[in-house]
Amino acid sequence: MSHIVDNYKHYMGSHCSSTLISNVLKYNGLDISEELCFGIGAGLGFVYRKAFNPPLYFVLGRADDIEEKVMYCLGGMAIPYTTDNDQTAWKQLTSSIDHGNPAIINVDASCLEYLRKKFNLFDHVRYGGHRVLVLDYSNEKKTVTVADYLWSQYQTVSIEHLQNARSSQDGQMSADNLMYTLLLPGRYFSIKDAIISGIRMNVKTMSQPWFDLIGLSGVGKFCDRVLTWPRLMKEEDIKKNAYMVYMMLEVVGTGGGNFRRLYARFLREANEYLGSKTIRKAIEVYSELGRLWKEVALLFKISSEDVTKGIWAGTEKNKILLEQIKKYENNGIMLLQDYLNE
Amino acid sequence: MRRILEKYFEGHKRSTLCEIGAFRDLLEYNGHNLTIPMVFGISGAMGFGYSYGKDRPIRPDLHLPFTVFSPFNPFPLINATQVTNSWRRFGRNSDKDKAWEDTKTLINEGNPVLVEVETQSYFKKIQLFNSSEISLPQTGGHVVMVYGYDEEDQNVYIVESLLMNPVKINIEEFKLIRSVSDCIMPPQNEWQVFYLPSQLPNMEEMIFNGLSHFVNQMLHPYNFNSDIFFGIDALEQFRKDVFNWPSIMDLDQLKTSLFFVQNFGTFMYPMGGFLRKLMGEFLKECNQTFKGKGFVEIGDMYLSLCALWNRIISQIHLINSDDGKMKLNTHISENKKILNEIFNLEREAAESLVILLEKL
Repeated sequence: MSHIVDNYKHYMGSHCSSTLISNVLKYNGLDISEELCFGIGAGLGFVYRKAFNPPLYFVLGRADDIEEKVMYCLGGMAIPYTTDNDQTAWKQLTSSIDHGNPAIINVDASCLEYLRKKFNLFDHVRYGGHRVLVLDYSNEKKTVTVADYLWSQYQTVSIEHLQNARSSQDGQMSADNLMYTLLLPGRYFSIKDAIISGIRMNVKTMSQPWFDLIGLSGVGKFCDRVLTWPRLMKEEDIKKNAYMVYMMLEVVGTGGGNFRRLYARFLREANEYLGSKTIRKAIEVYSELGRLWKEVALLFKISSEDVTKGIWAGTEKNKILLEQIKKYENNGIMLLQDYLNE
Repeated sequence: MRRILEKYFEGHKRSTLCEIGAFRDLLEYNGHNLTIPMVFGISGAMGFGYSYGKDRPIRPDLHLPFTVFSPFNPFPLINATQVTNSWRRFGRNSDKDKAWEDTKTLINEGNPVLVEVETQSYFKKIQLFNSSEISLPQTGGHVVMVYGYDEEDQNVYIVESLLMNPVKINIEEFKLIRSVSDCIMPPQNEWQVFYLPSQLPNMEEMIFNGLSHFVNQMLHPYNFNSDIFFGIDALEQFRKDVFNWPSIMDLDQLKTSLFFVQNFGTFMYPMGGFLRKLMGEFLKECNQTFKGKGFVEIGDMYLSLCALWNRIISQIHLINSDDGKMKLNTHISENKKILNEIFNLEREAAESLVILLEKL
């Protein structure tokens, strides 16, 4: 079904979900950047939670379901479907391709070779929430062509490997053969309205989350508790956790700075529509947060080699850094709320 | 092991729309008191869909191999999740025992679980519809809230949105009812759990979002494929087609299509005018938030639509024609007139809402 590959134009990006939904919308005639998709999709977030077996912390600076929120704010819908029936999942996928619709799906990143090569993180963990875009398949060659956010070239993977990656049940987040089907509206809401909806949704998800380990309260708990980790785990586990946090804050699909740089870029583009002084201040806050989170991430990297150094070196400077992050995260959301109140 | 989330049932209110009723009960369970019309409205659940069932479905489980329409947006809970700033977990499992274990885990964590069931066996089990009154096809698409279980007496505790009182079903029977995979819209152990915030967005915002989505999907319908229509396009197609149904489908397909007309029009929501009554009630309730903005007047339009749809519903049934074939009824020209009136009023009401939203 080469017509998708021929007509689809792939743009690389900072984060898998926002890159791919932006590219699919472009393919369908709506010229919208990754940054706008991230912000309209209320992508700013924070999750801090611990799994006990294996004892790994999950620290992530974005919110869930960006695809659903982007489509909602634009007046359409993203319909997710999961199944443990691999045949049904494959049929749904190929049917979408046959109809000329590239399909956004979940994969367990540790099951695909090109991802393992790029991120050695997946030697340690299974993560089924990575999104790729499927453009083509060949039953003869038994291969699938996928587009991924960080690769300029399409990746060819075997159908078998893709099936394994899709149906993976391992890790903290299983892939569950998830696929999104998009219902595109006959007319989108205006970009300006969508931006305002996205900001409003994000203020709510950050300040009034459904669970206290996410959003601003999650940031607070992380900053308050992270320095105690060495008392809670064996050295080997601490190192592994430190490396994971470094990767999740800085390297794997965050655009650097725990998604805050990406959010600052969203606000900068959004302000072309909004023209607000308050948003201009928020841009400064999120740019600074990007820098601060990067600094924290690099401290974790150091700690992943020596737990007495880096974030757990016991310095006052580290405490101040974490306090600053809490303060700036709160300020950022307050400024966005101020804008909405204007 | 026994775990029953008693508080969930305490807040239950009857609803003719299972998903909307269940979500309203969940809101109540989490301390948010909203009415059924309000949850219906803010979810942008009103709408119209029409499909021939020939091309690919939106989701694999929604393959309906006959002409069918829906008086509402078929995915209201996706919108409900967004508009209330909630989070939804969901899944589907081919192993009925594993599905049950997962359900128990979720209940043990304090979460009522929304579960899809196969209606023929389920309604028979709870003796809701007398089989001599209604011939139900084997179909999924109906959801119930599981709020507890007791392994000693082997019962699942369910809130059925159509009933005031809770229902108990034997665990093993329930596993079979929810795991059917070879019927129309198979339930396949589908489940959903919702995590709601302690504070909802303000009412003005939720009403505005719900209405914006409704009017957009009515006047600028979703594009999916040439087989599935939404909004005003779906109404147009329905208006063109419905009196030709006997000539474009075989008798079995025709009976199933007519079942869905009666399902929405008579069984589930009698005299509700394909949910237009609910929409009218929602708009009148909006008037308490946005006083004097024109909500009451547009609410009246939907109540008029309700009456018109009720007339059409009562007319769409099979009769024998002189040549021995089945046809819909003998008053086609009058019914066409009513359908035209419906079409024009549906458009006018949606356009009036656009003007109203611009003023808010």
